[in-house]
Amino acid sequence: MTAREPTPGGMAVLDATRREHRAARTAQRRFLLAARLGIVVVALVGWELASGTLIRSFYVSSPSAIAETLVEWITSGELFYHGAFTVTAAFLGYVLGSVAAVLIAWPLAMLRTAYRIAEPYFLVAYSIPAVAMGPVFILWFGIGMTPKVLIAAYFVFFIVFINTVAGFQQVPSGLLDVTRVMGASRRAQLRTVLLPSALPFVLAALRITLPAAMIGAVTGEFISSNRGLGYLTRAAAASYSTAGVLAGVLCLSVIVLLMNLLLRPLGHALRWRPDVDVGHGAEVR
Amino acid sequence: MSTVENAPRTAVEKRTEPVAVGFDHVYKAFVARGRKSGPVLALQDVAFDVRPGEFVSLVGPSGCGKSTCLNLVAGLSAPSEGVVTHHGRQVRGVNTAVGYITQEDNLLPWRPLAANVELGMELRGVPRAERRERAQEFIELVGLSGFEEHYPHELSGGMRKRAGIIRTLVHDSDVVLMDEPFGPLDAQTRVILQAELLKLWQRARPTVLFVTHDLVEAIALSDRILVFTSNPGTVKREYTVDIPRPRDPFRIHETPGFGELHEALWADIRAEIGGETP
Amino acid sequence: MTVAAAAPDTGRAAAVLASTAAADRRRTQAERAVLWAGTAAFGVAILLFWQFGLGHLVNPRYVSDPATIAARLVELAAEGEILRHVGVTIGEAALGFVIGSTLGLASAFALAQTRRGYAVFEPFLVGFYSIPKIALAPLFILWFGLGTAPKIIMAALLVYFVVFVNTATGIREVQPGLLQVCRVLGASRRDLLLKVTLPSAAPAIVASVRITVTRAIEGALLSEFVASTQGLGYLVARASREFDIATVFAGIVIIAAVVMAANGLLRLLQARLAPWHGGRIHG
Repeated sequence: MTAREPTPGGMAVLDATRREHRAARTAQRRFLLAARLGIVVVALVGWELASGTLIRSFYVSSPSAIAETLVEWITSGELFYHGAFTVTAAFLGYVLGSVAAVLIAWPLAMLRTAYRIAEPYFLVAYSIPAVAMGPVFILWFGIGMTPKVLIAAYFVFFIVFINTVAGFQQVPSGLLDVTRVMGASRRAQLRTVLLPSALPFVLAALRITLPAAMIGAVTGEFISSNRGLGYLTRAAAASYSTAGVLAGVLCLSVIVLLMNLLLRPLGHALRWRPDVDVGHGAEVR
Repeated sequence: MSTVENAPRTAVEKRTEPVAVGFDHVYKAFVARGRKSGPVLALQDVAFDVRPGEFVSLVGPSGCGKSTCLNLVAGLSAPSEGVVTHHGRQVRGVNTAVGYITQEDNLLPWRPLAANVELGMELRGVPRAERRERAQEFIELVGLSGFEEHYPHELSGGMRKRAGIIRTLVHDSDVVLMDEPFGPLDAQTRVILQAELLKLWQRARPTVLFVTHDLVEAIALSDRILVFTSNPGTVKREYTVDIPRPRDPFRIHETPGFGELHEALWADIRAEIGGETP
Repeated sequence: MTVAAAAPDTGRAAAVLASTAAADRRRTQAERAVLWAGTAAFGVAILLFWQFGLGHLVNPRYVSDPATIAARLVELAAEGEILRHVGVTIGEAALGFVIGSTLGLASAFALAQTRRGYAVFEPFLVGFYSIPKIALAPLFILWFGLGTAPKIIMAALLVYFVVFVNTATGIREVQPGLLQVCRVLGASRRDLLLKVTLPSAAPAIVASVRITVTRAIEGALLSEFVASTQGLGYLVARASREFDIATVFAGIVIIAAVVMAANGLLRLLQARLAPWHGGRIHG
């Protein structure tokens, strides 16, 4: 099916359209940037002005107070000390949770009977909010990094597990039939069809769960800890320092955003499946 | 086209010519997933032979079990009763000696075109250099050169179909099953691909079992056409297509004998869909 | 040349159907038996491990055992106190659900209407999404005190995000073809909204209700953990502070039961009201 070359008149129209389109895109980008910046500036300025005058600064603090607290934390080394703790716990929990989830989900997804036996128990475990398991882990393993790692792993485990199972189970049966008739053994099918087909789902889950691990670690710190950003935030709350609480929230949010940005390249593996969506329960809490 | 009405059945057992694919009084019943009703009889007393090198089309109303027949030859399911043979031997388990081209192209979406075409050979342990060479040969045959590194989602429907077809034909299996391979394509692409299929088929002349709804397609491609009844499916009538080869799918309407044959086939199918007796 | 095939032997057909049905029945029964046996065996294994094995892995003082937990559950039920706590938590979750969903729906509709509006706010949404909500719990308590208000707000917040994202996606994924056809038919903006967009987005929203309810309960629990005087979260938190592991587990069992009951109920409702939905849910 050969396409024909456009005439000079046609080429002129193509060029003009391309230029128009590019101009429109740039204009839109500028507008968005301006609008967003505008919102941020207005919000910050309004906040700063309102604090102390319209609203008691105790309730909302102010951008300047928060900035002050942050500077204090950075210069005293507190930010790094506590931040490192939380991030390490989150990362360890992330690795533990995802590895465990994939290792357990994989054989279960392949053996239908085994999966159906385990499913009800899994559903019960899934119904226990990770927050509730927090105290249990702390009682079992004390106050140190271990329970935080475990809570983070708990958060991560279920999301990765569900998505891994979904990944294996959504393989179109047509692909499996066709490869069987081509002579593929079960192992060959695993290698050529099942694993590549399930991979995007697993990767999508892995992309989303590092922040979830962070939440888990922070949750653990809230319940009982003497280190970590969660502890820092809680301590600020205990001493009625709204600025401290908000500074803590800010730090945590920035870290989570960075994590999301860092993991974006994992999306590259999804390039041949533009329709794969992130799975269940993956929202950042 | 000549008709022999109510001729005595040529018994399968007494055939002296070699048989590539044989159906010997095959019944197939399925239990539906919902399980509200009992099992459904898809095929009832199906008996026919296919000679080596023959191109046979199975036509009939939807749901009459034509695809089930292909699955039985491929060994993806087993008959409830009766025997399906491949070169005289009963089909037991998955029959890897046949080629199967399904309705969906079933290309692996994460592999580029060439890798997909090579898939079967890869699974059989064919060395890489040989794989590449053979795949390239067929890719050029169907006009897909230059697209070797494209992913399936970057190819058009017609191109994906071609890829699915050569992926199977590259093995030179002596029996090839095709389940409405051109179904989802537009009319023009379909005719083009029919011509290409005939060209490919002429190379090695495998035995082909071809399921289709398109009667024109069946006449253009086949040596014989088996008309199936509506569910439960069985062979109603057999037609021999006397039109000489090589055939031109673009001009099949103009060949002598086409009109009569098409009329007759349509009458049979209409009867099955409408429920009237012919 | 045509050859008419011989008439099929319909007599055998009935026999084939019967034997297939029988074979299928046998296979299903065998499957079910294995399933029951396996599930029971697995459950027993877990209980045995808990009773005898867990103490070797973790601090044995805080392991408790199924028997004690069961006894504690009975005790709590007898005292009657437990119902009050359950009621409090469920109440907080329910109110949070209502508030969060309403706001989520409203703001999603307002924002998603204008493509520009949504585009401008999207990065802020991602930003807010990234805030660990638990870190906001002390803030809410600072603002709203120790009563039920901060719990309701927290639940509402978690619910809001889920509903907002799902509604916005549902609205944006309305097939443009539908809108175009209706516009040509003369529909006003309001008509389009009510007769096309809303019904089109409805299944996605309905489907997300289960996740939303779970989130609401989690939000309430989260807030109770941080500081509270009643509710299931408070119960577990207090028990853990008093090192009363049996009550902790008893509390967890009750929480799990509540969540499963809520899910089960919603699943039934969903099957009745919106059985056609097949889309994806963002949760």
